[in-house]
Amino acid sequence: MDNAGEVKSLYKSRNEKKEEATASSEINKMGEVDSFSAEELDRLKIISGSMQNSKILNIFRELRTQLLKANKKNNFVCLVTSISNNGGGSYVATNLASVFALDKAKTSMLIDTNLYAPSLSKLVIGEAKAGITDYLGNTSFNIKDIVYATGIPRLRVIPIGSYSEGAAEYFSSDKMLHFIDEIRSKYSDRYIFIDSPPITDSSEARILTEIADVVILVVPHGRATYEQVENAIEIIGKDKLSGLVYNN
Amino acid sequence: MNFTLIIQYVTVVLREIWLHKFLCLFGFALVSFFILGVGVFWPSKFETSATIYADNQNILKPLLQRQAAQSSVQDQTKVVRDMMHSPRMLNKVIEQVFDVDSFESAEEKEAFVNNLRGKIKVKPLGAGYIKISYSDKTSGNTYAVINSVVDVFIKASAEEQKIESREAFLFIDNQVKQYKDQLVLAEERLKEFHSFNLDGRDADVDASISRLRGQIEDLKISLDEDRTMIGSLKKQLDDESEYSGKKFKADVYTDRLEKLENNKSALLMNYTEDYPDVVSLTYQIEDIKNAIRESAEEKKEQSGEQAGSSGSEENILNPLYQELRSRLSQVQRDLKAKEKRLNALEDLKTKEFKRRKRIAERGAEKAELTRDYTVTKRIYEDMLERKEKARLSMTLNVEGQGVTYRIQEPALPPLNPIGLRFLHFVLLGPFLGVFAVIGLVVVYVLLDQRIRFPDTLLGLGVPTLAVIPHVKTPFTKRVVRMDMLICLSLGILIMSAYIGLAYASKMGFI
Repeated sequence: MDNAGEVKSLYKSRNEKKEEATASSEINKMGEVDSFSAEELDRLKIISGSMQNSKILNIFRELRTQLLKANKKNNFVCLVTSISNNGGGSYVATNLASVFALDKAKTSMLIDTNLYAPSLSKLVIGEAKAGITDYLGNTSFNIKDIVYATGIPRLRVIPIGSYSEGAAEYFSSDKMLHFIDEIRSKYSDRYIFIDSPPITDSSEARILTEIADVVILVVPHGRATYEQVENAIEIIGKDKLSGLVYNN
Repeated sequence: MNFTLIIQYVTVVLREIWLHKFLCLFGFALVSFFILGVGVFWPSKFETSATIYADNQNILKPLLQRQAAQSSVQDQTKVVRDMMHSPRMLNKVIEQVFDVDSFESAEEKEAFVNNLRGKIKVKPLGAGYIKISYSDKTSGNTYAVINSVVDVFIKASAEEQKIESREAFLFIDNQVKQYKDQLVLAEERLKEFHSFNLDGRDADVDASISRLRGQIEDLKISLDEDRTMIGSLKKQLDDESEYSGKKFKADVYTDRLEKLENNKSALLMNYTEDYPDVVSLTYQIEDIKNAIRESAEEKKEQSGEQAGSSGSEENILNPLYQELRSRLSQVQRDLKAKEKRLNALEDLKTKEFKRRKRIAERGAEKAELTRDYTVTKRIYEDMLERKEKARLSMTLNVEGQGVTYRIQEPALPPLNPIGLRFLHFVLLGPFLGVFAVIGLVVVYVLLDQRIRFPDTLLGLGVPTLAVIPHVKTPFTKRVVRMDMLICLSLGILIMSAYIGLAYASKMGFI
């Protein structure tokens, strides 16, 4: 929202500094670049192991435990979608990925598929040049080119990219399936989280649920009626839907 | 509804208010200024009241006590209300207070009268006190109207009193005349009766009868006595001889003879016949016997001679005989006289009985006449007394002293308006604004279908994995603080404008 600009300017100054200091380490993009400070994490509303508000941290830990319990497989693809726009889907997806990444034995990957309100590029330290749409729409991109390190240890992010026309078709393509399979099978300790557009008013979300192993539906406070939630549950299907998260 | 649920609802409502803070502020301002506007145009209302005391006593009541049936005690308040609400009175009030010419048509005036009637309230306070209150838009009008109403009412009621008491006096006066005529008539009749009735009273007759009876009884006893006396006198006369003579000698001899014989028989018990004493006694007895024989012969001769000549020297008249004879004749004379008297008394008694019968016959007539007279006289006297009272009441009423309504508590000019005043509206505005906003938000939350409580999700059959609280970061806190500051400034701005407007309106700038 309106704090996005502020956050961006913060990164800019930071990036400038970094470019001066670590210009030679660009090849090390996949490695641990840098960590966000506690202040930055606060601003981005991202949980961390050292955060003061342990209540929220514990809530996400509990959520992690429940997901792991329900899915005995090593790693899974989890789609996080919301009932409506600004419903907190991205927030839940980011923090879910973060809480998985807190475990040093696990890594997590966050894929931004929210064409209408992409938000994950702010996690990237440095400039996010390309994203998933670029990869799907253009054969010249490699997976490597679109995966970025973030200010959070063990968390990788794939931003939306700039090639957004006909995105629904990209997501339903074989290439997308291959792509997901590839990043899942590469590391067995990698958990993949897809930040999806709202389920009720976009076809992309419906397509993406086919790809995902589990789905989490975020119900925002005061924005969805009971019928809408019922409707959304029906679209996703009860076998895939892991559960609801109520976002105040 | 338990406590937690209330807390939940309060939180949700506050959150909604915060979410729509500017809208809420706008609503608050709108409602407050609206109330202020209503206050500006709200007509002020003045009310005042007067208390009158209604003397419960009808003027006829003391005059006609017990004698005539009085009409039941009416509801005094109702009477006063009816009188005050009567068009006659209200028209007088309008004439006094308002300009009569200001009414264009009769309908307009009629409507005004009806309006006035609705605003005059008559309420009983108990114990004869009646409160009359009136309310109007201005203080002066209110005061003038209530004074006029009370004044007109009291004057009218006094006037009615005068008429009433005058009528009462005339009525009683008329009655007095009628009773007087009746009394005169009764008196006349009684007099007539007395002049023809000479038999006297019952008691007189009774007394004379009993007196006669006593006399007759006494006379009868005395007659009996006389008759007995005559009988015994006659018997005595028969026994007594007309003349006394030898009889006395013979008696003496006989007595002596008896004595001598007794002595002789006593002596013979002890002595023989030849004892000298006995012999002497025997001679003596012989002598006596001879003497008795001689005297008896003498007596025979005397009685033969007496038949021939009435008086002889030897024959002496017997005084006892004479006495008895004179007594007898006297008693016989008395007896005759008494018998005559008895007859006379019996006659009298019979007459008295007849008289008594006559008196009894006329007694009923007399009782009726007397009763008529007494009753009429009593009522007449009573009426006369009451007539004087009525005259007094009438005089009092003519002088205005005997009114039954008087002002107990005069009306005061009202200084402050009653009911809702401008200040009330000024104070009420912000409160109503706040309540309206809160109320609307509560209604919105209750009616809005969107989910605001995580508990609602339980019914979906899908587990709720987590409930994420509202995240407060230092950054959002700062934003909130900023918003708060803006809201506060806006609130202060609104309130300043509000107070300024209220003050200006109060001072008459607007």
